[in-house]
Amino acid sequence: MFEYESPRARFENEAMPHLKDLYRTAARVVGDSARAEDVLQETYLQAWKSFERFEPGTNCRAWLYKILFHCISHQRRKFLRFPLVNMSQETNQFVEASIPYQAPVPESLTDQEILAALDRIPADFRSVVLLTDVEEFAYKQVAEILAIPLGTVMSRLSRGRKLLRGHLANVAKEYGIHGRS
Amino acid sequence: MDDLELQHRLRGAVHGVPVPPGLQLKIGRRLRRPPAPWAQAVAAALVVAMAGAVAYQDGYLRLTPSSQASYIASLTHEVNVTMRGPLGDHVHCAVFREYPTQIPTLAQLAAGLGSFRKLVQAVDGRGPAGYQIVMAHECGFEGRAFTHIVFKSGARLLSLTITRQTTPAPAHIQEASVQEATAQRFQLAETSAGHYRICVISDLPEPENRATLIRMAPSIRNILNNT
Repeated sequence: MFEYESPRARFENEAMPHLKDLYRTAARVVGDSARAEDVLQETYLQAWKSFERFEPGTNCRAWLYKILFHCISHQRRKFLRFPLVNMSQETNQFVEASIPYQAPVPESLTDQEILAALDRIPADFRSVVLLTDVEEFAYKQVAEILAIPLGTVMSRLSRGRKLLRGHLANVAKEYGIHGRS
Repeated sequence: MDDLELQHRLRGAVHGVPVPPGLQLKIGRRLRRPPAPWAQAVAAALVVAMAGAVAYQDGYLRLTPSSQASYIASLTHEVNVTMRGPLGDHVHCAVFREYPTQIPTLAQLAAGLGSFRKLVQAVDGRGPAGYQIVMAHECGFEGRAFTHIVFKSGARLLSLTITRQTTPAPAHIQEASVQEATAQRFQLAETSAGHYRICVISDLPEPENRATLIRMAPSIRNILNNT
């Protein structure tokens, strides 16, 4: 027998399970948990308002991420004018130039150290690394979510990964961490 | 640590970040919250303002003489010169007017028409279904004198105006010729009767407005010819 499901119930069933992943991505990109909460609330409001345009059976998670990055970009430009967590461009260029392609990264690094290194890479690169390596989206989906060309996704991912390795290697060196790399 | 291991560690580190307790509840509540009262008030004000603007453009809410005059001027430019007087007179005398709750008797109405008093009796019952005469008077608009009878049905109005013309139309044209025009929501139908022009103005559809004129014209011609 056909069971009617209200739009709100359908929205909650489809969209709410992705809330934690979205929050963690938002927190890493904007660098602040309160701002991440604000962005997430806005994302869900926007998603609910445009839910009638969402095609059932398509990728709800990718759709929500697209809205999330749109909200981050919108809030950053129009309202909050908050800077995304970044090191200076010069520092990143210096790190990028000074690291070999496969900088050795010891296994004994803690999660906090890994996150700190992630936060030090430029936001544009970080977003691509998060979507590709953490959330496991395909390159094409990342391009759609961030509204950038596929080639840009690949170059940002390559440079983002390289910078991450470089920062992790530097952290390990600073704290005298050694081990199998 | 190779790339795959690094990705694995990175995924674990990001997914290990705690999510604030109650976040899902907070977002759920936000989604269920009705729009802010101020937003509803702004939306309501916008609707009222837009409705007011449309009503004003349509000639309603013209409360001052100058705004009424500007509305009549904008209307009358949409019709030819001979119809401007009747249209202006209809809007000036019939539309922008408050009617008494007690409708005058036919005798009282006829008393306002002087030598054309028989017109009231002649056109009574010849208006569209449901319309009855509520006013009959002699008036002037922009220097032209009119005999003016107003029919009303609810909020809808119909005017019959009769005015002198300088050159009488030939008899064979008088009977056949009906000129029509439309100005916004108003429909006009006009014909000649010797030295007079007879015009019906209403917000009825064009055929109904014309039919009213054709229904009234013979008895009006009869009176005009014998006056």
